[in-house]
Amino acid sequence: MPVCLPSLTTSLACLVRRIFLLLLICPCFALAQGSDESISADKIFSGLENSLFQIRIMEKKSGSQVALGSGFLVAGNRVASNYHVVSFVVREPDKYRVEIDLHDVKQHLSVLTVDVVNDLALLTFDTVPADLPATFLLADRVPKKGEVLYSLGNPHDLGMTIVVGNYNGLVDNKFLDRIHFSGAINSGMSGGPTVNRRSQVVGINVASAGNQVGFLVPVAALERLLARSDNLPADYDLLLDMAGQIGNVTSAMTDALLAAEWKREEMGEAMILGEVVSWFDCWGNSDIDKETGALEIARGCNNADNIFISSRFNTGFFEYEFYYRESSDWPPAAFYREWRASTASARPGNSADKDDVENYSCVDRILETRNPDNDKSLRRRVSYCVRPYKQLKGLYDVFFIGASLDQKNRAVMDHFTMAGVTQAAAERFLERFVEVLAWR
Amino acid sequence: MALVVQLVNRAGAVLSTQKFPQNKIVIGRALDCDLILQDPHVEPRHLEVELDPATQGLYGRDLSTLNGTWRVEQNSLGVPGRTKSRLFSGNPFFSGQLFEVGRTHLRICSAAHEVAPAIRVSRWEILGHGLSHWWLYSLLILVLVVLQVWDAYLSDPKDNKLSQYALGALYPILAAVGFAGLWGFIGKNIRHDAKFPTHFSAALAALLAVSAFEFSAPYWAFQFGVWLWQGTIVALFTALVVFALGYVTLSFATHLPSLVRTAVAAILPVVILIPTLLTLLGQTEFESLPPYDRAMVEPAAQFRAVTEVEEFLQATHKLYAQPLDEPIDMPLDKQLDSPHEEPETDSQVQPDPTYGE
Repeated sequence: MPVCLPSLTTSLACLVRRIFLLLLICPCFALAQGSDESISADKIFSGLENSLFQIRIMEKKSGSQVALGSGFLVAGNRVASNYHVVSFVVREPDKYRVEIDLHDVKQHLSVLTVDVVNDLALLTFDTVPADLPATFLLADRVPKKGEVLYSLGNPHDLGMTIVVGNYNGLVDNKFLDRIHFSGAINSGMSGGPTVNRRSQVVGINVASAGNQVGFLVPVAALERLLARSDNLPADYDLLLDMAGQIGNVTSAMTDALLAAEWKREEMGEAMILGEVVSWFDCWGNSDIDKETGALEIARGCNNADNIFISSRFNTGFFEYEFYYRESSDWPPAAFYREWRASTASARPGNSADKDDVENYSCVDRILETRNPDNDKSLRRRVSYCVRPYKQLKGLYDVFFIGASLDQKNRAVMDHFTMAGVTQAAAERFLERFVEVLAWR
Repeated sequence: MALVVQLVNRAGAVLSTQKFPQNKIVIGRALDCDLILQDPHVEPRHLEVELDPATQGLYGRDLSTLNGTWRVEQNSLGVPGRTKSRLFSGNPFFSGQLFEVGRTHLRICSAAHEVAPAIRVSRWEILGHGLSHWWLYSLLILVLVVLQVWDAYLSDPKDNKLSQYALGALYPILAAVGFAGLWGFIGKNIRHDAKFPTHFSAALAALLAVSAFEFSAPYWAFQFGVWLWQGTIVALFTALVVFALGYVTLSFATHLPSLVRTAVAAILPVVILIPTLLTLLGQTEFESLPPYDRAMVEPAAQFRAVTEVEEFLQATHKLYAQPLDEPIDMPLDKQLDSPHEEPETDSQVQPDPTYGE
């Protein structure tokens, strides 16, 4: 049974805070710690160890584990983890279950609610054990850049581990907040907490880019989820809630995109959409084929963010791309044969499986739009394809491709993908995007 | 009365017919024979044939030969069979009997032997004759080569490769030659008529039809907006052409009845159509690629009508699973404003019918 750890040099202020937190959250066994700089990782670990679990996802029939992660006890006797750790159970609750070991006794848990956008999940005990350890406390302040943090979890099923690293602020240019943690987060530590010196959770381990670059979900998201979880309705439908969460964030992304200024930029003889928002990653490339003399230019932007639903299904992905081709001395029939081939293999930027989405259905038309600056018209074949989600009702993947066909030896293609959007958001974006492409 | 002797090849085709006014003839290599054969396996005096004018009976007498004289069975079309029986002295036989002397086949008849009535000149004969004109297959070769070279050039427009493209265009011509040669050989054996130019023209016409149809596919697929069906339509057309070629070729080269011709000619088209049929049958399966229109042609060949942007946007509304006036986005928008509120209810699945009013 964990008890409050004795701090070495406890200040009066800390003592007061500790008592307050102890009374507020866990009258008996809270884990609040002193803020002394000299508190070492071993002390932090030993104080938190019992409230930290390895989360095992078990296939019910075979009784074998299919996924491993980490989780920790939070207020209300709930276990917090990552959505991606428990995604099997969310998607197929009849087939999988969640297990943890508490004092070497197996405990079964159920998924109470999730924040799929921030990759968080809250689990509840099927039968609440009598001897629950102390809950983790959530940090009430944002760490300072460079502050030492301790990440906890069970990497590669090697046993509970504590990793020391530094807080490096929020990741730049992302629509969704993620903490950049300079420390080794490894597979299996997902869902584990990262705490400050006071043993308060500042983030939840979620991803790693290798080489000591780790990402955490800020604890504020967990706080919001905990608050929400107290008011779940009797007929709560988790999948519908997830659809709502995804729809909200993609609608907010669409709003942010549409609120930004859309400036046309030159690409060959065409005018295209440049970088609109800072949270889009943009790239570009051009090439002149030595043999054919054909000029190719490609540019595109995407949000580089994917909302994980399952290993074969991700969503929340936005991208737009432009492709320009010019072969001045080719016969038009040859040019358009090449143009046909180079625009024939466009595909959506996100992946989805047949259990998740219906097939695409498309509308194809020939459109003529005008450049408002020079009144030049551009005729193109446009196709707009939509596929509805099966379980996450009300959401769609939409796919747009346009290819100009009014000039003999040059042509331009425009394309966008929006994954996990509502009809309203997709329509607003399409309405604006379709008018962008123009001739210089 | 008179005797008639026909020289017949091993396929039963008559090579020559000779009529002898006398009632008794001798056949052999000797120069004093009535019918002189060039076959080294035939005796100088090999076979004596006699017609009894009173009874019209025919008698054959083998003149003690080394290799013998054999009566050979023949089918209704006069093709020699495998069974044969040796002729001895003075054996009677029926008019029209086929004999083997040495390596030579002879059919011996009396002049009163009945011949089949004339058969009507069939449309196949007329078609076959029409197809065999030299100018027709020359024209087909020319058009096919031009089309192949143009097609190759459009895929990789380089002037210095024209001779290479022209050489490449010879492959289909060679294939047509091979086809005509094969069926000419078969026809020669079965119908005693090779009809090489006819088969050649038919093969060239089929190749040209398929090439031209494939070449034109993006154009009609674009004009009519049927890109999705382009592959199926081309496969169907190819199968149809292959069937027609097979049926016509079998009619020229064989005696098969039309039902059997149809069945045999249908084998290859069915093989061609199997992948298409499998695709059509499997269309309900999941496809992660959007089936957008991929047809496009040069501006000069475009006749497809331009749509107003507004009409296009209207048309896209229908792509969503639920009609626009249902409140599918409502719960999500609500949640966006106040994420901590109670989550959406079942209204997404079963929208309130009064909402749209």
